[in-house]
Amino acid sequence: MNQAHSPALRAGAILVAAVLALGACGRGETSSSGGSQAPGVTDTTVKIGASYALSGPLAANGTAAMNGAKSYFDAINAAGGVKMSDGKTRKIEVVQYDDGYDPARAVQNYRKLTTQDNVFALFQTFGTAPNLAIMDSANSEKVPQLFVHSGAAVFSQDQKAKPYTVGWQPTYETEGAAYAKFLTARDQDLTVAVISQNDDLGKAFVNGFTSGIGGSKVKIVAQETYEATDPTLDSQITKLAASKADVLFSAIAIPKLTAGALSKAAELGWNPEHLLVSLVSSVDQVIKPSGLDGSHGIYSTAFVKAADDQQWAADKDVQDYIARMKTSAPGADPTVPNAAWGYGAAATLVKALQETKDITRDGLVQTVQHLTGSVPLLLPGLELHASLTGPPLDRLHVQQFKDGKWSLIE
Amino acid sequence: MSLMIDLVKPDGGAARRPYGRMLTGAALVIVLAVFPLVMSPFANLQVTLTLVYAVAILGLDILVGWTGQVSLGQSAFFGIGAYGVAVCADRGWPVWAGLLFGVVLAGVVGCLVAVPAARLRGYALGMITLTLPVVAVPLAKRLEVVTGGAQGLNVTIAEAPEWTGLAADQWHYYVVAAGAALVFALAAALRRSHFGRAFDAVRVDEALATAQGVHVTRYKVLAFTLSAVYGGFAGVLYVVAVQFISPETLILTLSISLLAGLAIGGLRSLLGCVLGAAFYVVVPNVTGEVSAGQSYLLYGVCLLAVMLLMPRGVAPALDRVVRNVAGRRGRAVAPGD
Repeated sequence: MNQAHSPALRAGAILVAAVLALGACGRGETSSSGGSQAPGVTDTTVKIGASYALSGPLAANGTAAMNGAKSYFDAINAAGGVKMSDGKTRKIEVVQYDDGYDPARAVQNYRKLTTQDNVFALFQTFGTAPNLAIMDSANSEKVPQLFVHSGAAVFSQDQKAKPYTVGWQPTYETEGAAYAKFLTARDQDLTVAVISQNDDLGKAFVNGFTSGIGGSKVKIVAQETYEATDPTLDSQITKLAASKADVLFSAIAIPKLTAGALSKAAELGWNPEHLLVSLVSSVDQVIKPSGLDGSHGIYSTAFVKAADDQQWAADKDVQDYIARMKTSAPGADPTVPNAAWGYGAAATLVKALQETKDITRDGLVQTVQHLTGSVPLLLPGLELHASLTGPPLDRLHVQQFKDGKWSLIE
Repeated sequence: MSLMIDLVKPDGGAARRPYGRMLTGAALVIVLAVFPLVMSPFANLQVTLTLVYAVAILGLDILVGWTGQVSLGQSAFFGIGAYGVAVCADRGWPVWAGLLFGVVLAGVVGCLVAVPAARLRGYALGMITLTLPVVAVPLAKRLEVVTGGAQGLNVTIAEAPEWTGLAADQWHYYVVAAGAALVFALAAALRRSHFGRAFDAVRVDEALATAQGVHVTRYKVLAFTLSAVYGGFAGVLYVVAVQFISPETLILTLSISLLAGLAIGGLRSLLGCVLGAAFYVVVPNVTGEVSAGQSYLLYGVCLLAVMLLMPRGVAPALDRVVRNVAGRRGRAVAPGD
């Protein structure tokens, strides 16, 4: 009985010894910085960190975003690297981790990237919630959190307060406003029915649209919402059809539901013009299954050239993109929008690195806040246009579905 | 403090020398106290999150391990606690009010669910508790005015006081470690009290328990409520560690992961709760280093391997190893298994 406690003592002693041994490699060592240079920057490399949803329900989108960026960085590295303002050419080294779209994991990845991997900047961290979870830390620790992969306005709208965080793609509000502008430009009386997802995303689309039509002849006459878990939108569409509105604005985020909504409206003998947000504008997943031919008008918006769009088949940007995707991520689908966005965002980062005069984290942020010009895959007429109140891409083009494909409207 | 004790005697044996316990406890306290001062912020965050999830798993253990019920609802209570403190902080109310609000609300909801659920057993109870996270996620999105909707809430709570000179990660570590130590000690005391024996009786044989004067339904409701309170408290600690809460956190997957953590660590073991939580937090980080794209696949492989090699969990397996090292034949099976 006297020995009853001895294993416990022994285990405790081992534990103490282990931690004291670990203590030898303490904090001083982990925050090593490479001489006078900024963290993550050597004479030959610049280290960038990323956290994506590579598992879980959003894994397909997260993986596509990662692959798109990788294919651009690989091409730049294969050509030698990024020529920076101090005359040195540096290869881009990307350290990336999976967060499974879990904010707690994203925060851990942020810690690891900034204190262990010592990255120069975070790039294209994926999704609204994971980015929100690290935004405050990134700003108080002055770590650039660049071109986050989310259309939420919160990442770009107040860069005076949060200068280290910025988005890339146009916000959902901007997209909603683009449809409003398209309708009001016709200067005719139009009635609109709206269906939107009952969350921040749906509200952002609708807010952008509503403020865009303010004071015009375009009026919203019916409005319905749905939950992402709803199996169909039949009841909502039936209610909206009773309004006999001229236009149906579908702020829906789920392709399958959109296809069902379009065919339900037609089945009820209601043939409005359709405005489909770009999340659900896929020809194969939405328009073909809905059975509509576009004769009554189907419109959407875009800001990058789609890899499966025939009008860009001979376009140098698109050809490069498809070829690089094939090299860097064999088997990955280049038509997934997240991949094209990742590619464009990577090009934007490379452009910012080239133009950064003062190669520090603050210097990079300064450059990003004044970034203008073009990057590959943007639609004709669209350019980077940095501001302190929005992401660098703040415009979209309206396109119409005609003869089985999307065509830009001049 | 009683972790090491449980390592040796998962069911709290009778013969224990007081100085042995004190030394073990003192050793643990020293280790835990020195750790954040010498380790990297990333290591501190991992330990902090491990302790957060350990509290949630301990709550689950009270219900599942001690009392023999099933629950898939722990993520909902976790969310109630987290939102409770985050919403209060968001409105500028003091943290202790948020803590109280979150924990009490979790307990009240737990008790309300338990009253009808206590009549059910096994799969039926599992199905009822399954609805909790299914309801909680859309609710958190709908109550946008208070919860911040789908975007969630960014809060700043438990800031390191100026005089400590500690970095945020170190202070958060101490706050969470102190909170976890308190509720672990409470659980240890509870386990040894007549409540613990009553929970055991309910698990082993309800009819027998009734015959011995244990009010089965009452103890089931109590276990459920305690479990919810621990879940809620873990949620509060989560907000201290992460400073953010959004609906993504309380999804059903977390409930399942916590249950898996409990199975990994081993039932009815305080050390097991910590080990299960450590597995959930640390293993994906390690597999992510190996291959970012396959981190969860590798995590699944590790999970399978542990369950195949140590079907009763890591803590009982360790227990056996320690006994063998000590040159004593341990009981292979704990009573009630």
